[in-house]
Amino acid sequence: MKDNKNRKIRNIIEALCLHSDADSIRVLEEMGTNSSDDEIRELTARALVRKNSHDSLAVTITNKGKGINDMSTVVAMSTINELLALDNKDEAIKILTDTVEMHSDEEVRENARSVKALMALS
Amino acid sequence: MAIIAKIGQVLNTPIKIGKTVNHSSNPFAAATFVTADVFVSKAAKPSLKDKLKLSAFVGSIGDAFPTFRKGIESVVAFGNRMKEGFSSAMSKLNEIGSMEISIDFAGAGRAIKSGFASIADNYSVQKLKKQDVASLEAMWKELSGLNIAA
Repeated sequence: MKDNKNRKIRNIIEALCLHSDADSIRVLEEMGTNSSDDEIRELTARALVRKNSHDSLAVTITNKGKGINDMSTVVAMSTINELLALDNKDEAIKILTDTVEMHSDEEVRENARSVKALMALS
Repeated sequence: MAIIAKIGQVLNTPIKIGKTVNHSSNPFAAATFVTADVFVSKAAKPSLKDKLKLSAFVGSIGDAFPTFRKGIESVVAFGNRMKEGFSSAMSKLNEIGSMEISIDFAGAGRAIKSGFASIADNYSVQKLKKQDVASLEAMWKELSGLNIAA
């Protein structure tokens, strides 16, 4: 029963990832990145990265406790992998650069710097 | 058919048998396998002519057997060739590599069931992505046990 429910949620996340409506980013952020379930947070972060828009990438890069800054190593690493797998990394690198230079939180800046270095190497 | 023809042929050549008898001390020397003793009966001894006929008949059977044997052998050889052919065909298919030769009816059944399920499933990605974001949000909230109105 739980597997079926998770499958449905997974498909909703995938559908929101494919959705062109900008509001889908808000739903993914509110419902997904705030979920207590690691799997849901991981799927949501990857979906936001795959959208590859400024707003969706900003959620996963600049927010403490979300995306690459998630407390769960699995979620953070999955998000980084998804960033590295992007065909067009321009927007992601731009946001990472801004985060490294201007973010108020030291930890977020450090994470962004590490990921930016990885992306430059990939 | 061949035996009957052969029997008929042997039985209809009394002169030949007679010649053999005349030039041999043993009248049954011409018989291939069985001697005339096999046919000796205490109740009624067959006449010399009957013995010769029976002997000739048995001899003809002896001659006929190789024909039968050949026929049987050819059938066996045919079966073996078929078997070898089939085996080699199976070997070739196996050599192709990862190709699966066996037919997995259970798997096929599951695949068909899965196909129908995906058609009937309202939560397939194909169907979900056609819905508006608000509907998807409501569905997600419902699945998460959250109050939709909240």
